[in-house]
Amino acid sequence: MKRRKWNGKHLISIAICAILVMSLAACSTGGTTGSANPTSSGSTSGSTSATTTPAAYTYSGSAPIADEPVTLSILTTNSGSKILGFADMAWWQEVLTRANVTLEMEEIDSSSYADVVKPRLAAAVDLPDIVKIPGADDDMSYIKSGIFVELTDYYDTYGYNFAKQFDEHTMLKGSITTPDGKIFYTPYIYTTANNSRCLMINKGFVDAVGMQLGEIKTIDDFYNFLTAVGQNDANGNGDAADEVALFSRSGMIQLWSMFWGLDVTGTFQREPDGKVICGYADERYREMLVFLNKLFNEKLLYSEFATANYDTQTALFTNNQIASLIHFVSNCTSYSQAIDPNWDFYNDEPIMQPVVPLTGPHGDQYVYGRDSMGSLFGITRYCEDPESAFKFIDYLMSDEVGELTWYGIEGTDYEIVDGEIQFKEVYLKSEDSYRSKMGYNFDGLPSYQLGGGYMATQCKFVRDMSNDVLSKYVMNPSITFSYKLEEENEVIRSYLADLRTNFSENLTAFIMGTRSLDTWDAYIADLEKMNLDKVLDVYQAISDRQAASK
Amino acid sequence: MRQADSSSLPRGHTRKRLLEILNRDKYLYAMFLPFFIYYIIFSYIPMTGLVIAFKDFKPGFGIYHGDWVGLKWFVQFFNSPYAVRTIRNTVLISLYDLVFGFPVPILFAVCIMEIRHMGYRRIVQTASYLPHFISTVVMVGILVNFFTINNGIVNNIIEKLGGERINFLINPRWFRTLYVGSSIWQNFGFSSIIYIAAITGIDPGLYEAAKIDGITKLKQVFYITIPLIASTIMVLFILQLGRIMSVGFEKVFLMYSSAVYETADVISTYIYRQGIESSNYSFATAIGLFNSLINFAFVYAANRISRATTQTSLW
Repeated sequence: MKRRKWNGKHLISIAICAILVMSLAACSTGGTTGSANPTSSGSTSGSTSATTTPAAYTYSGSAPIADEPVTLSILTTNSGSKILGFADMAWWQEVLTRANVTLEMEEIDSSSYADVVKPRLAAAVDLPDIVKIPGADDDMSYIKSGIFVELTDYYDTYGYNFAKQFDEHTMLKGSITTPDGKIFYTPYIYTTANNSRCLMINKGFVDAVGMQLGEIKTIDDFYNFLTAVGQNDANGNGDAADEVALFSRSGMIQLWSMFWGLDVTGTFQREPDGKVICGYADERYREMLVFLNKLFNEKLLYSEFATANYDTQTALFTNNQIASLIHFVSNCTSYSQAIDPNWDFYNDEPIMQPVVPLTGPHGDQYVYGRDSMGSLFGITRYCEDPESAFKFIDYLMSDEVGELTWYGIEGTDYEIVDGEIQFKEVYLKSEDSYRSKMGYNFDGLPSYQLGGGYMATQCKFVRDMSNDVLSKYVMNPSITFSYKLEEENEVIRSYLADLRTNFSENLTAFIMGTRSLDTWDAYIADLEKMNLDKVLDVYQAISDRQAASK
Repeated sequence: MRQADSSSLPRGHTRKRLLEILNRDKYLYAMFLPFFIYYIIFSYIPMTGLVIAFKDFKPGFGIYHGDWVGLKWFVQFFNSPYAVRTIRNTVLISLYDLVFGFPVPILFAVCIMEIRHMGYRRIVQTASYLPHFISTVVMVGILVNFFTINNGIVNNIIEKLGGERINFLINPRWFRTLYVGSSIWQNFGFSSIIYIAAITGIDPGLYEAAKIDGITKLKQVFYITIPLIASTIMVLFILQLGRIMSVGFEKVFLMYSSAVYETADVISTYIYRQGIESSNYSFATAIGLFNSLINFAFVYAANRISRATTQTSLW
């Protein structure tokens, strides 16, 4: 047999082959989780947890949840922990210490969370103990798939703190209960009365154009203010054209509907007579569009309102270009600080000031509240100790955790003086994003917003305005989230996605003028052809059920 | 790619001939094997998931469970008011890319091969490749910065020249121009590599003979260069035609907004809103399958036409 002679060519071919195989092996493991940034507190991430069965210990709503350490794993967003990892959030680590829990966290950037997690849930393999679900599982597909454990009995047995939360937020329990009376999720709970979305105006611009804030009471007064801003160099930088009279960014222009008594952000609302309407098809919505179209044509509404993002907003505030916008009242302080870093939190009035709501053309005077139900978290079937997982989540709803994660640690961040909380400078000044680093407003765990906590970081003016004035005008959504029947989901799945495309597209087109408001009738006719009436029937039924259950 | 010819394996000797070829080219096949396995595992086996286009897929139960619904999702798509629009936008954007973008690398390759100074040629070539390596996100960021109505450089120039600022990013009429124009700018250099390689393979003696015969440079291009790289052009044309229903999702998604849905909403972004945002996985899969079938039909037709007219085809 002729012996093959190995020469350089053969060796090179084999080497190239080996390199290709190795590079493919490396490539094929990448990119599966997009921007996932798995982090852990002391153990390898992504593994299913090994939990210990707690010894005979009766949890009664306070820490610890068990006398033996409990390890749990969670898949959630990294919102709030982008500056510092969760493992370094001292306030939350104190919560875990008191609860006797070790948490293995897998965090994914909130901007891509839904895109990454939805396929994982669809595959339903290798999930951690607790998962923050993307969206609200409107059609109960995750519930029906059996990914998540039913929690109804746990709520009855261990829901000590949940019971108090449900007393305060009366619609909440109904929202997370399925039509057959079961509960599968635990919510993150928003404060509703203390952090409304209101109109805020740049006091410096008001002074510069020779007006008084108290004069701006109606839509017409506000228009006069915007016009004055558009004609003057209100920020005094020598450029009379750089002011943005009314700023809005992508997805926020709909908030203006509150001055016409509408809740367009929720799409559907229940009127006082019990009838459910679609805000996008209402005559009052057309009036709002006429107003906004006028502002856009006169260059008083930010020209890129449909595409601007948070970074654009930040840049404009830093350059003191924004005269007015609608946003959460809790942002007034941070916006004022962005405009003028030398602004005195303790002594100066805020530069961006919340105002008494404008009176709309029909006499409506509202600020926009919200549905108290935030993100939902489920305990997966992979969890070996769901009972401990639920106890931990219930503990996160306690007053102790609320104070710890919103006020900080007593002695370090605040002191109790004559029964009142007095915050220390390190907390109030929050230099170098101190509060965020500690875990303030972190919604990656199923907990809640402490109303007092939100307002604690505001200057006195904003705090008083929110608590004493704006709270009287809050309009919360009249139709909150609730699970639907299968036939209702079928209708929504068939028609709502296309309707929403139509709504957002035409909202922008009408405001910009690329579609004339003279074609309003044709717009309504299109909505009818797209079966809006069938979707309205579904929401009427949902709203009637909610009204009956109150 | 193959050129049409009349050779064929003798009957009865096929298996022996095949073994001979495998043995002769075993190292080439060895290099090819990892890719073959990769495509089998990550492209062909996952195709079984297409079954959910005909089912009422419920997450968590697996792709083989769920009720069969036949063509329900296809019917729902074609009944949607946006079916025609998304198909139209997809085809138009691809067509513009084909009509305006396809000739540019060829022209660039022809021009660059006329540069006599090798150093300068290399600099120009390298500079032309560089935009290809910019990621889509950065590319769109640059686009936004250049074309924004507030302080965008393009609008600043327009204003300085006495014109009025144009809101490029929210005007539907400008979307396709921006999309196709930026794609051409980003990719023409890299795409020209293959044409440069093909032109380099042309016998210089042909050009010398043409020069002796007094043929002008332009005629040399039309009568020598283009015909001799025609097979390369045809193959790439067929491949591009096969992507006519596949406008890249990422760039459209980053560039579009509700203001420009009229011209920017393509099949892939519609699938995203339905499949990911609304969790209608079965519906999105059905549209994707439809999209792929149309692409395949285009590739097949183009391949047949090319084989019939130029004797060049992919298979």
